[in-house]
Amino acid sequence: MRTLISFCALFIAFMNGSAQTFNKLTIPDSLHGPNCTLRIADTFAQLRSGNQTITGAINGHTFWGPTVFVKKGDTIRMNVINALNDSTTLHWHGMHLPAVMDGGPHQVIPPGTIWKPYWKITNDAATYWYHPHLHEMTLEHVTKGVGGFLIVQDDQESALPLPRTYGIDDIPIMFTSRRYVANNQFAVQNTAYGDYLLANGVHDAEVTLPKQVIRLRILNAEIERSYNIGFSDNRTFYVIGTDGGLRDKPLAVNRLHIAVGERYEILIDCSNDELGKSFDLMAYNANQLFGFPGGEPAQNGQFGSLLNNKNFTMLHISIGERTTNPVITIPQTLIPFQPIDINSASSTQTIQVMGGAPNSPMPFHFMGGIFNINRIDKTIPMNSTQKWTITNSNVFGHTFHIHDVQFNIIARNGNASAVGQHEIGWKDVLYLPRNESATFIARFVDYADPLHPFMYHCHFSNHEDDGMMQQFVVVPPTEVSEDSIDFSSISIFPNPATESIMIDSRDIDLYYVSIQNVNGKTIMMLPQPEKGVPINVSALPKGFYSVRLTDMKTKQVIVRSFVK
Amino acid sequence: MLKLCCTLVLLFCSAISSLSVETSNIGRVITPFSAPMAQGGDFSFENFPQAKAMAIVFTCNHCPFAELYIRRMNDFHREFAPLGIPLIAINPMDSLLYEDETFEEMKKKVIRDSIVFPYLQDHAQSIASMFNASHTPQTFVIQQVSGMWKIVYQGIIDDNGKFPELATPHLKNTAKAILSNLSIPKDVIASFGCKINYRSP
Repeated sequence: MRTLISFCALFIAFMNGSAQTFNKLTIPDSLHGPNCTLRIADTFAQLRSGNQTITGAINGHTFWGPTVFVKKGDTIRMNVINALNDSTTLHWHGMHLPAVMDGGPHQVIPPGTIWKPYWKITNDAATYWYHPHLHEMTLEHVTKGVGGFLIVQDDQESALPLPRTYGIDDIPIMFTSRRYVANNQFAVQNTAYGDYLLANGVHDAEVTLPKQVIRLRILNAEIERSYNIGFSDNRTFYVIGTDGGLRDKPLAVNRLHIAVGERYEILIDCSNDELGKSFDLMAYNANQLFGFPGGEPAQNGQFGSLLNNKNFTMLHISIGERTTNPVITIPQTLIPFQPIDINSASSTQTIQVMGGAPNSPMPFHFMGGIFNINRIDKTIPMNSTQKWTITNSNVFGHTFHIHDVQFNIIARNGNASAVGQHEIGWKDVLYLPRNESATFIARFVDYADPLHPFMYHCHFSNHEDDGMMQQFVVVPPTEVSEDSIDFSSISIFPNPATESIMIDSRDIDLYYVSIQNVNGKTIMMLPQPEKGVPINVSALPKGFYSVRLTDMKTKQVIVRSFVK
Repeated sequence: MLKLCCTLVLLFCSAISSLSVETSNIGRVITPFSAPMAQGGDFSFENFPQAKAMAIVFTCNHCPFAELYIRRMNDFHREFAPLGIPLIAINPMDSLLYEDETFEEMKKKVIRDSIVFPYLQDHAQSIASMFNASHTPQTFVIQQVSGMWKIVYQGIIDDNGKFPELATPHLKNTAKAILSNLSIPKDVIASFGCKINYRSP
């Protein structure tokens, strides 16, 4: 467990971004699976001089949360405790998992409730993340700072000569920006862009990196802004990973467009830099084509920002002493990339961006309607491979994210050669410029669930909250029996309970279990609880509890009770 | 499940307020209210028959930012109640939603924090509704004007939660202005902290 670097440095003057005084980059604590507890809470942070800013964070952080490390093949078990003042959800962005564990808008965690999802990690080694996803509240909860990295490790990645000493030569950086209103509080409404950049929750961040090859895991966690990154000395850097996996070989670039929700892993070679040398990771966002998020000229107002249409420093870097056993060369090869066979696609889904024009009565949305939590927009047969084409004949750029799967982008504007070299690989977010289309291919191989949907949406959280989101279910190839189930044999023991309860459901598979207290408040949510695994109730106060059990096949509900 | 989730979403998303421009309630007439006090008995305006004004602070047990202000609220009450401006704290949080906000927990807090000001439970959220309160700790001052209690200040206790020595003491300044018969700025200071989620009617 790493110790959080003190926020004391933040008391150093914060002067509208003009000061050349920097604050030390915070590296989030690490949390290692397979059993993790994430407690989301309201808190406050000293982000600038003056009053503290109301924030939301996880496990004692004052902004953001711990980095969760998990190994491919492990089954991760999460205890998500919502100690926020509001209901929320926690979405495992990029993970392939059952929809009921996904943390989308349907998995609402009321205040004071524990949600216990678990799933087998089948994703490849890469940088994923987790964040709130409650419809119409995502912007607010994300703005507060709730979220964290989720890093998957696997044997293939571990065998490569890559930097992986967390916080030393393997640095996770979440970039976002915030606008402040009176008393140093975050602006939430009518604000597409922040005015001041935050790196892992630190304004004007700096880091000392050892004189060797460095791995940066960069996440764009903005509301709308893209970053066209590069380095102030115009050095070449190497893209080694996309959203959902490592590339086949490093890609040498000088600039890289990172849109909202995207993650890129890059290597920078500092092995020949002089000790003490300084340079900056930059966003070269000036003079972009119209439609580039953050390229608007205005400095204030809903679509304005002090960072708009500017080149600005994202991270100040100084070179320090080399560590023992450093990586000093860029590897030639990484992980063989085996793309999905384009010819294997059985059908094509088409998505059209609609609305959002100036003075339009409708916000941005997809054809078929703005988000309706009770409407399933697409039904995807399990074991199918599909092409999805998203067309944006619209006024502005967006980012498109789909849950459940990692995809390969196979065409832009119908042209395979127009796909950027940097975005070849496994992706779960794609940038969709105005007046363009993008086509990806994905496999929907398991986790059929006709009841609980997955989402696809614009990852601009203000667009998502306004309804630029739809949902799909993955359905089994054969019809599910609707026969009634004999629940009479289901029992809960011991009763009265002290430390834990067991559910004896015999041959009945359970889809969902929720426990309510005597006031009817849900205090524990267990999607698809594992058979034979006790449910810990030791922290519950003495009293009477109802247990709602939902059958997997028929979705019929039965209620049992116990006393503690 | 879809229907259940939808209901939950609607139930808990009723207040999406945050830091938008806040509606001014200055000038609004407040009907004298009564409510149970965590110290025992019921509060009514008759408890302070000599009051010229009252500082009304909406607060709660579980909000970490509200927690920072308890000592300052005690100090204010000790200083200004004898001068005719008592501080009345009101907990408008739904105790079904937040287990930390039950009346029993309020009683414990009074003892734990040596609270000297009346700490009321607004069980039906009717007092908070009357003030149109949105966050804890949000602060109002009401004053008797022509026989009616009216809101004359809407804002915050001060502007630095963690370091009171660096703060502008807005509430104290308002109290001093009232005691000196000076005019009170009518500007609303936007509230922040933990949202008051109103139960659906």
